[in-house]
Amino acid sequence: MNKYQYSTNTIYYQQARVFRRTNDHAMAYCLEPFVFFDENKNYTPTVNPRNLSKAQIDRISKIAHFGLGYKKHNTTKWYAITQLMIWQTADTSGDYYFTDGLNGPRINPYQSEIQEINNLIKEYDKLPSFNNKTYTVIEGNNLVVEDTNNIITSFKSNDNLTITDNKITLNNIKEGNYNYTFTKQDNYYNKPIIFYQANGSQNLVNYGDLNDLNASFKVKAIHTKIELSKIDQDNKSTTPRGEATLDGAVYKLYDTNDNLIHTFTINDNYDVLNNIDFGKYYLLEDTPGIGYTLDTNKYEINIAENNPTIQLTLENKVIEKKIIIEKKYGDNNKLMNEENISFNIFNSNDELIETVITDENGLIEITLPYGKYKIVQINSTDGYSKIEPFTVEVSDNEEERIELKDLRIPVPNTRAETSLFLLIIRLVLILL
Amino acid sequence: MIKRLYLLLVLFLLLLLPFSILKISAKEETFPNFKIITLGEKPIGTLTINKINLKEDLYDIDSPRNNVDEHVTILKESSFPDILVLAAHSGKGKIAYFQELDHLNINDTIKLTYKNNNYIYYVVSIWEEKKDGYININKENNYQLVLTTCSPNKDGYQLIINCVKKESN
Repeated sequence: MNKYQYSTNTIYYQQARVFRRTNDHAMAYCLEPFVFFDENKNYTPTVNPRNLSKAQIDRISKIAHFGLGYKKHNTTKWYAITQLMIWQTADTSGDYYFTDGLNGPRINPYQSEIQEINNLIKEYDKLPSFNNKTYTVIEGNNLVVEDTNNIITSFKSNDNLTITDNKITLNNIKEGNYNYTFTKQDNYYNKPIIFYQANGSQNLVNYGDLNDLNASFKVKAIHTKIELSKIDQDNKSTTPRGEATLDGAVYKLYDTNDNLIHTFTINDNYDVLNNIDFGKYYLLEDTPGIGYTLDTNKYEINIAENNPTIQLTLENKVIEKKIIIEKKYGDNNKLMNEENISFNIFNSNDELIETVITDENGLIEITLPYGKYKIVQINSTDGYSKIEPFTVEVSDNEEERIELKDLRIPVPNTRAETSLFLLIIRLVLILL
Repeated sequence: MIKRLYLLLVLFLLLLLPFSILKISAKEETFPNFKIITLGEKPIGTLTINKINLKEDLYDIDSPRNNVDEHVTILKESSFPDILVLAAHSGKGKIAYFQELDHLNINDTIKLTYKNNNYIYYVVSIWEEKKDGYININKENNYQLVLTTCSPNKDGYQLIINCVKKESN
């Protein structure tokens, strides 16, 4: 084998030799070409042989692993091939090659074998396609991760997951961040690779099992949700006005293709949809609560990794009616405005909610929210009776005018007089 | 004693007289010569209350026949169809058209034919007021028919029956 030194244009050459340990004849490879080997030196094992980088140590280890002794690599040519490849890796200052005889012309007799070792190293170094990736999923979902490099089956994991063929399946993932690790262990030789070094003699390397190869991927399970809260538009609270109810309102969630995704029904002023997929949606009210007008707004929603929770406070306007009470009194032919007449307004639970008084025009204007109300007159002008309590129902927004007229109508004497016959009988009875 | 016997004799003789001429409550029969009749005048309508077997003509509000001593009377403050107030005698006699008005109950129906149109009312409230020459009525948003007469059961009180028109009419 020759070495052509780039810097000095010098060619070094030597006959290939096999190094064996004296006590067990285990083969070793030279790491420092054309450096003197003193077989009398005491070698010490090391994991950090001098003059080699980590990358060089790694590649040399793999060349030694897949060289002589690996499977069918059992002839001495594999020693020479392995040694050449180790030198090429350990010393990049020159070009190493086989020659036809000592310092003979360059030949390339073992290209396929070299390529085979390189392929074995490349294959060994191959990591699952998902290595170092992070997958973001919605809580509760399943995740299937496929290794397109098709080598996951040579790895093992202590994590709770299932590996089938080249796929990893995670079921019903809870919210959180997870790191799944995989390890490929090499036990081909059942002994470690050991480097040896000694002062005044060149370093050597034995062959053995490779270091573990690790792979991993991360899973970020996110809890997404859309929370709806219902309030009254006027009082900005969850307390409905009048006899209306905010509960029972129905909202429908659609995706951007107008497909219905979910139907919300407000209960206790609230509803929530958990773990909806990432995406863009819109929300429309389908049915308002009883006594409320429809919320016609279109709510755009974008569920994303950085925006997993949407909280919407939705308002409804209660149905309310302006009621004008016009109070008059008189004999129907001549009616007058009745001023300072008070009315109590009761709700359907007979709770007094307001007292109103007619102005100088006999008018009262009041706006009442959805519900049924009983209106009771409290006082009246002297000589006039009170209006019988009456009911007002607010179920739409149409203004309602109520005319209340107390009529005081003169009536003739409507008592028919007693017959003379009966008068006489009475008189007789008195006289007797 | 003789004086008392004399009085009894007089009373007996009086009892022999025809019954028709003894009654003075029905003005039409007692004093027929004073009855004012507008020739050719026709009733403006008819009040029918089946429950008390009443069917009586009504005359125009300005008609001389529209008086309580002859007919069921439309009071001047009426303004049909908003409110029609009818008064008539109770007690005894032929003109006591409303003598059984107190037999009416809530939801009883009353038929009114007025200017050739038929209307059905139903009773919504009944009350009595102390007589002072007036009755107090709450004008409602519905078309009202008010019937009034002296209370047959309670001296010094006026019976008032408030009815509203049925929506289907």
